[in-house]
Amino acid sequence: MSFPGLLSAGILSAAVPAQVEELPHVVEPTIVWVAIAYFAIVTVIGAWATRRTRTAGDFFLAGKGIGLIALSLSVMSATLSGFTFIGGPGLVYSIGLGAMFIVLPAALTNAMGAWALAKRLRLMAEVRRTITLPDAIGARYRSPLAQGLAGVSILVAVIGYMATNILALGLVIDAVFGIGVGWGIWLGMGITMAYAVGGGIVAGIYTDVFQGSLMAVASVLVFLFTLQAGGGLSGISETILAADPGFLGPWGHLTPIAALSFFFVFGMGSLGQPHVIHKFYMLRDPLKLRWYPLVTTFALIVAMLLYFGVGVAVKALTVEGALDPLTNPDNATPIFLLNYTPLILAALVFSGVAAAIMSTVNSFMNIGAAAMMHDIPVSLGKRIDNELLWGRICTVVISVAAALLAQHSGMLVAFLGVFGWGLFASTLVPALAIGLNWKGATRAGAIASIGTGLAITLVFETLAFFELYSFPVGVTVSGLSLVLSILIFFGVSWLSRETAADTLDPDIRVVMEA
Amino acid sequence: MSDSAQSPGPDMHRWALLLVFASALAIGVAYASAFLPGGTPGWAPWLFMMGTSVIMVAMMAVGAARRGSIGRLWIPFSMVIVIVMGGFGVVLALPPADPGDPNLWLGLPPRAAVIMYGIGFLPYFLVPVAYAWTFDELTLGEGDLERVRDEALRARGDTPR
Repeated sequence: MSFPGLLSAGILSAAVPAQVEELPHVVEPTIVWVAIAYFAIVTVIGAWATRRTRTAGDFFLAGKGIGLIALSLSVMSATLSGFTFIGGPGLVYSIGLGAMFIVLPAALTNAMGAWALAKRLRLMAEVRRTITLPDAIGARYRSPLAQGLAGVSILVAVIGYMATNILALGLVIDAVFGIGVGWGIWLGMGITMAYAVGGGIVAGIYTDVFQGSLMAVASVLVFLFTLQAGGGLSGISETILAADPGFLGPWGHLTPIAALSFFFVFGMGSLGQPHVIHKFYMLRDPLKLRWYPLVTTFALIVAMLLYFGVGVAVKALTVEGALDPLTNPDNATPIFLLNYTPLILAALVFSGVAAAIMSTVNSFMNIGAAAMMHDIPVSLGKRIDNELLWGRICTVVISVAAALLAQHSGMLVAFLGVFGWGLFASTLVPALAIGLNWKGATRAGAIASIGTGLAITLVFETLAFFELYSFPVGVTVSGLSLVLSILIFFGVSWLSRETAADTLDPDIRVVMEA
Repeated sequence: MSDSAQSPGPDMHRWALLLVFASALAIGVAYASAFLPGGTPGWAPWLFMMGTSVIMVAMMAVGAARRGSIGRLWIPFSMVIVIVMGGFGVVLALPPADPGDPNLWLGLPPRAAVIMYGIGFLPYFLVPVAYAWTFDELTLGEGDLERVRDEALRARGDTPR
């Protein structure tokens, strides 16, 4: 079973070369036992969270009761996924410094998110019973249609993202336990579902705290080993420059437009990632937002050391001949860990990869279930009575659907995963991030921009996947759909500007002016 | 585009919104240029670089502005634009490193070092710090929170404290 770009999918566009092979098997008693311990801890946290989950507010918003550290670490964990530890280093190995443009905006994105969204969303939760991001869109524009469209966009992207991540989880579990990808999918899904269905986002947040802490520590340790193996950063650079100077050029092996496009899409696009920004609702004390960008950005930068370190070190080691050139770039991390780090550290990282994927899947389960059970019915004028029960049922339905898709849909799963980031960005950034900060934005502008993002992403990603049409080098569907949805949002809002005041309730106005 | 001009001086919220729009337009033009016969013209990366540098900082300013003002935040915001746009500009203008005689800055070739340390790392010491530093005064204080909570009570038909 092989899938192109699996661990990169959902993040990258067709501009990035695809990987086509499974991960190497690393079945070692130490790695297996650490993985079992890891899953046991996650299960215990899930059981504890289940006892704390009594209402829909607990299930979807952790009772609005989490602290700053929990918020920061869960945002970090949900942001990173398995891509940072497997697909990312593989991408650095393949295209050099150009791959860093995906993570390069990190020093800016959390502060941008804090100014543009965190305060507004958290205050929105003070004045309204908002449990989802489409709720905020619906409240901002007094528009069930805008809420429903945003809910549909989220659901479509979530199922694709989840299927891709679950398949990646199956590959990682198969690599560790040697049980086959099919069983790996269902074992990983079973454990994730066990805590997500019972404990909802409470379980997700606190497993993220555990997983995020471990990821950060493991990343620093692995980075130190990469420096040791490559003879320091200067040694790594000199080795690579002698054989492949373009690798350490400012854009790596990408064109300037392609690299800058990554910077734009992953920078501005961060304002539309629901599994991350949804967590702003949950902070117990809004005044604690003061430290959010500082803490979260630090955690992200630390966790990304592995992304960069492994990618360049493995490149240098293959240039030196210490390692054979990789046939599958996704193998960069497993091969480095097995050859250059103590087994216990390798074990922690392998478990950390599984855990990172699980934490992302858990976040998607939660927001997908909310879109299905809450946003889409609300847009049709219906309200579900027992939101906790239906939230749990929808979590199971989405999870099983995504696992079946992962196991049986072949190449389709990779296709579904490719457009997740871009779809979130183009449908949510204008209506939410700009709209919550601009009283001149209108309902028509929001609906037009969400529709534009949805249509452009689905049509052009489909055409590209089936090789019916492709953009010129450097132009990505996600970048183009994001920029067009922003321009459409401004244009249509300007054209319908006389209606702007009609779409603003007094309490929402207070939130926007705070 | 903004109706928030209530303080003396330029309406920074309005200007920031215009910059978001103009930057998106610049990025759109840079993308569109890639469709021209003969490939992407030389000016396109420069236009894209300016657009992508400005749009993120302008978005911060849109979120940070209160009653049309961003207060002292114009200092870190200007510095970030200079760092990011200046960094990309230097990278586009500098010649490639000589593989035979690599001159390394903190272990990386100069242009890579500008990308990694300058654009990737330096803003960390500016914007998150500025956010924390000015939080009470320019983002959210106890009084703001009280006002929002009172409005929430009013919206539910209760009497504010």
